[in-house]
Amino acid sequence: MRSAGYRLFGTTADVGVSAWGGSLGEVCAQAARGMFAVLVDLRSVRAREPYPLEACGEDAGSMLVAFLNELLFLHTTREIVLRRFEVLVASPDRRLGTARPHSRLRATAWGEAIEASRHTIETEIKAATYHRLLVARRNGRWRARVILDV
Amino acid sequence: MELIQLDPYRWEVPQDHERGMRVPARIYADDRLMAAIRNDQSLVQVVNGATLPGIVGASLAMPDMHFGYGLPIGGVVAMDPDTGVISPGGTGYDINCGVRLLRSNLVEQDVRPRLKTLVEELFRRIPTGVGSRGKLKLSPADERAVTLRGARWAVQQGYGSEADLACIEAGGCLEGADPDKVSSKAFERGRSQVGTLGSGNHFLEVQIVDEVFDEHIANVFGLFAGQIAVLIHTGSRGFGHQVCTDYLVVMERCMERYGIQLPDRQLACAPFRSPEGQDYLAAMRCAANFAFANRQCITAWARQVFEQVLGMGPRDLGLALVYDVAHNIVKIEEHLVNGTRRQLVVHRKGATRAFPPGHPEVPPQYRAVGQPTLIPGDMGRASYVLAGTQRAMEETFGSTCHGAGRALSRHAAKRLAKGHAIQRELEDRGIIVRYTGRATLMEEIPEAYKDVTDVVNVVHAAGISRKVARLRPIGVIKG
Repeated sequence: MRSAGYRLFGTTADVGVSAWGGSLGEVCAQAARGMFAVLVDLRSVRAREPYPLEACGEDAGSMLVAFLNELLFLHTTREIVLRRFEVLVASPDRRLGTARPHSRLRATAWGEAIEASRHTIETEIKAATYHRLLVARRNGRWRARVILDV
Repeated sequence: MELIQLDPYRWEVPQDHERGMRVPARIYADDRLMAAIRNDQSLVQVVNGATLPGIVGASLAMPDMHFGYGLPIGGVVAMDPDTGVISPGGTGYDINCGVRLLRSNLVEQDVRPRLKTLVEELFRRIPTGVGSRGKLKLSPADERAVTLRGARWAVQQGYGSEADLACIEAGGCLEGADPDKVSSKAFERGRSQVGTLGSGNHFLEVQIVDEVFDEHIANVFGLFAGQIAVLIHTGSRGFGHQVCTDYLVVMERCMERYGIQLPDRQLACAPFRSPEGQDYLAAMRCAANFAFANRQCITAWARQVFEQVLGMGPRDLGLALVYDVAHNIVKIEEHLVNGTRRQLVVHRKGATRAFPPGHPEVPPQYRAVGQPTLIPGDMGRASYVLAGTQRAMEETFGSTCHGAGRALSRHAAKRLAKGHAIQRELEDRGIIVRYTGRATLMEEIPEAYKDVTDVVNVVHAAGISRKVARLRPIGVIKG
């Protein structure tokens, strides 16, 4: 198994992404890649423009869901597809209002405007859900599982 | 989990305090459908529904039930407004996803010679597909008006008539919508999507009334064997998805404060009377109105296409609305509970309202026979028109099934569809299909669904609706 990556799996109605990585930031980035792999053939996407974004939640799980939903919002309203993600999870800092650990991230996503001639959007994803949501650390490695409502 | 079969069509999971159940769970299914239901996690989800604070009667599931988020698809839960909760996960992401049926004065031979052109023109005129953008260019003020007035807004803009409004659940407009409770993100996501079909299982179909089961009721609904009809299935698009996403976050943040503990985060909820609960209700109503307006605009374009392609006037075509009904929604309704009239907060998630004869919310022209209830099937088989019954009112808070329900995952459907010329195979069976995304078409093959006939036979035999007519598609446009 590669040190960081993602895998897609099917449920009766929907699609799930499981992701792994060496840090929480890395696992969030891989989950995002997995989600965009559901939307579009990632090989057709060029990492041309950077799109900065932030997300926060009650814990690592809801932060990841908020991050993916923010990316979906950018995808549908800016009409872009994304393929590369860099995610920094803020350390807990009471002064910045991040008293809870693993609850706030800052990210840059790279991608480009959708061009009908090069990009086929395969599916419409309504949202990343909390269903069977999992973000966990074991033996120094991070794992995540998110189910997408398509 | 203990599952007791009460009769051939009713099953019960008795109230189990260890699981936190406040009421029993009741499932409508026959042996065969139950065997399929046992294969996914949806039974656990009906049981989870029974743990929601303030739930009244039982946590219910219809025979098309399958795995969903929070509640299963096919779930119905009703809450006491004073002690109970309201849950975005109990409604779903596609708020007021629903179906409307138009009847006509046409029979198959009026349409068959021009069918291909008709379907192609419908496909050209009605935006379909992932991220489809409408032809309507709405200002932010227009979009607010859509969320306040629903289908009434569309009619005021010239899309349809007052007569249409009378044949829509709630007159096509839920009162109490408040656009100030909707995020700017939802408005942004929805702005270009009024009058778009979208993708997934949404469609517009040209159909034929294939069989009439109840001549009298069909007659009251204006339906006859051999008649051409149009069925439209879509919802509130990105606007509704964003409202649900936003309020799941709101609910998650406040649950601890309200001391609510649940077995599934996706069921996140707030007390109905709390500010968060009331805000969600007002925002959900905006999304419901968005969906009513969406289906109304699509209807107007479909009528124009029929007029142009068939060279007929609106009076000769007679494309009148039979009914428009929501199957993902929360409504405040009056129900009889143990002999007492009570206001309840009814969540229907993949379940359709099926009010009985005599109910004041059934349009006057249908009141003697019950509310028309529309059950879409897959694109190769059939859809059904049912009528609401008194038994539904007594047992299921006036609710019935909503469709076929998926049998295969999207992945599995794609694997099965691989190598098949789906469009041609359907065309060989006399069904013209036009679509935007090949992946969607593959995921939506008829084999991916349970047979809607099996589902409808259960609700009919259980007495929670009556079969009126079966329709089969001859023209399909999809996302």
